[in-house]
Amino acid sequence: MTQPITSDSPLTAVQRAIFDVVLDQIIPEDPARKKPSAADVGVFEYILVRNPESFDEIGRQLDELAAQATSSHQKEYTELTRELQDDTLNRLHEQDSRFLLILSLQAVECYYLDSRVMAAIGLPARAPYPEGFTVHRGDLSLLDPVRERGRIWRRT
Amino acid sequence: MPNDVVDVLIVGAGASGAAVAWSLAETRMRIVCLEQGDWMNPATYPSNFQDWEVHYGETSAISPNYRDRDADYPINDSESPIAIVNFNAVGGSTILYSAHFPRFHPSDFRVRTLDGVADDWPIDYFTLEPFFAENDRNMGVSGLHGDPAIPDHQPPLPHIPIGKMGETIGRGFNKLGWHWWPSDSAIITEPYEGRGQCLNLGPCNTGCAQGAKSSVDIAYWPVAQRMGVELRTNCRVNQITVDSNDMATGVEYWDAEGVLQHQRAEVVIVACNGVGTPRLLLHSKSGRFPNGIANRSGLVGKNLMLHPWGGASGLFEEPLESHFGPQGCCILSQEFYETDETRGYVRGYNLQITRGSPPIATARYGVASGAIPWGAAHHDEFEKRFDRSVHIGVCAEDLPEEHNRVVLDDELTDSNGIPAPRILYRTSENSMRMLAHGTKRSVEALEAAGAIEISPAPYPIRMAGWHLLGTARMGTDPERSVVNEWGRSHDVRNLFVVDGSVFVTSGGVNPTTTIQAVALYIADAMKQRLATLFD
Repeated sequence: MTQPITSDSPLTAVQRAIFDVVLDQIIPEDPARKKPSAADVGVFEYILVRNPESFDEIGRQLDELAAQATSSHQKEYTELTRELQDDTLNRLHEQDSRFLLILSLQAVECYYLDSRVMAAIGLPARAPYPEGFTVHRGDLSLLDPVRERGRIWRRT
Repeated sequence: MPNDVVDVLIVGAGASGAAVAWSLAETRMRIVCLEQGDWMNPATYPSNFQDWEVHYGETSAISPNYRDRDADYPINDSESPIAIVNFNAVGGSTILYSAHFPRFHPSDFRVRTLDGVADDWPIDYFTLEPFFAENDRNMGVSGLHGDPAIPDHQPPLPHIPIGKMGETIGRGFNKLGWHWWPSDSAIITEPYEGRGQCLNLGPCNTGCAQGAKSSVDIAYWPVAQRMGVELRTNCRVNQITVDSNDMATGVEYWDAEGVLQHQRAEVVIVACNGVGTPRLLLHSKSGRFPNGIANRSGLVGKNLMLHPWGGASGLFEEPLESHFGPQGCCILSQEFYETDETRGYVRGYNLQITRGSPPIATARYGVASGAIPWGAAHHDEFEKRFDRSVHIGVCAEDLPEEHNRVVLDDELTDSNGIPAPRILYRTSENSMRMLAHGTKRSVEALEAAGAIEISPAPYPIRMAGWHLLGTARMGTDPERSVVNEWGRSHDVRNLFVVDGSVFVTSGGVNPTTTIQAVALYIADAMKQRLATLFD
């Protein structure tokens, strides 16, 4: 899901490109399960609506990833192999775990609302109400041993 | 003429206030209820939305300090390991409760006689039995007849579906030879009294969009209003007023427009829960009652009981459809409810088996705990967890101790300047031993049921102070209790308390059905004595 980057975007074009790569690192596409990448479910817009102030910290950390890619590999972060991207992200995570945690928590919130993801885990993409769900009543013969044991409440 | 003298003034429109209003309505007295919150709109409940899990955190927070709606008052619970949780609206905390509805046991009313601890109640289970049944009918309670852990009773509606998850845990209990049973639940499983049946939406504890969960704004208030009870919302009571004869004259309150009013009344009934009620009584100071109205015993606010909670979560290899169905209601076990001194503590606990986590909660918990990594392995690990989790909660009986109490905060106030309640509470050694025992038994039950990964919870769980009991206790001795055996203040003969504050002990189960049975019993006692109510 490609979104236009407007002039009032909290991320620069470079930051946004790294942001999408990091989301894909957090939850990559799984074609066998028909699950999209987290970079393809609108996480940017989700955070923009619900928690835009977190972009300050996210932007700083994206800059740090860019700087580490340049200093260690003399390349843009987006041009690194996935292996090197993972190494770089891991190094940042070891220095400060908050960035990846904050971004991951918001990413999974958004991810598990996506209709393709919901379908992949066996859920309809709708509100619980009004259709609801079916739960079977259960096999009450399983209670036979409890019944056979008899009263257990304490007489007074 | 809103401030004419009314016959009965009820403060609080939650579980007990609604029940007592309904019961007294048949007298045709003029009854007014003041509620600081408003009516809830079920169309706004999270289960109306696909992103209900996100709405849950935003709109249905259980702590008033975090939620901070206009109707809420802050609570200073920084000196308690257990935070106070509640909801303020027509319906009170039943808006968010799980509707798990087990009754107290007969032994809960006789703990001094049976176990030599705390005090016996001045009433017993069998006194309350008809009021339990009446409340079951009014609320619409589902359950399965024949539970051998509780005296025989017949819930009016068929039991809640236990599903594959309930069967799985039930088999585990059977392996261990332990009691289990489908929970009595205040959730209607068939159309009932004009209400639609449960649709297994899942998040009952965010408010029920279907109206199948029996919150009292749905189950009691419409009937009480049709019978003539007047319910005034957005009205926050400041204090109960009293005359020179130690009789309550009414209450002072801010109306919906923020104007301070005085509502006069022949009878005042307080139904604000085990924290709100002592707060109001303690704040109602006068020359006759310098330490708060109805507090000559000095016991108002003391003996706070909270039900410390523990528990464990288990993951299973096979999908259990565990995130479907009423979140807090499936099965329970009362194997360890009664005292067995070989366990190292007295009294006991209920095991409440609750449904598994929905997708976002599964992912968030997994990510935060490190169990679900980032990268390609995310999908495998999520799949191992989603739809395969089961939770067992331990609801431990909390014995009364005077040092556990509600007092008025010196600095913190609500938006009207009324002092906030301050909670001074320590979890007792007996409770901690009980929680240790219950946590181990929860792990055993999950193992027996086939769980492949089990996570015991640290205890007491902080965000679990739902059950607010004991702070205006009932008794026959005015020096050792706040109200008499039918809820009337020993000190103020036209002042009644009908909520969980009057509980002498806490039992080891979710208390709402017992709170309501006590409220109906008190209302009945008042009706029986109308001609001599103040004697």
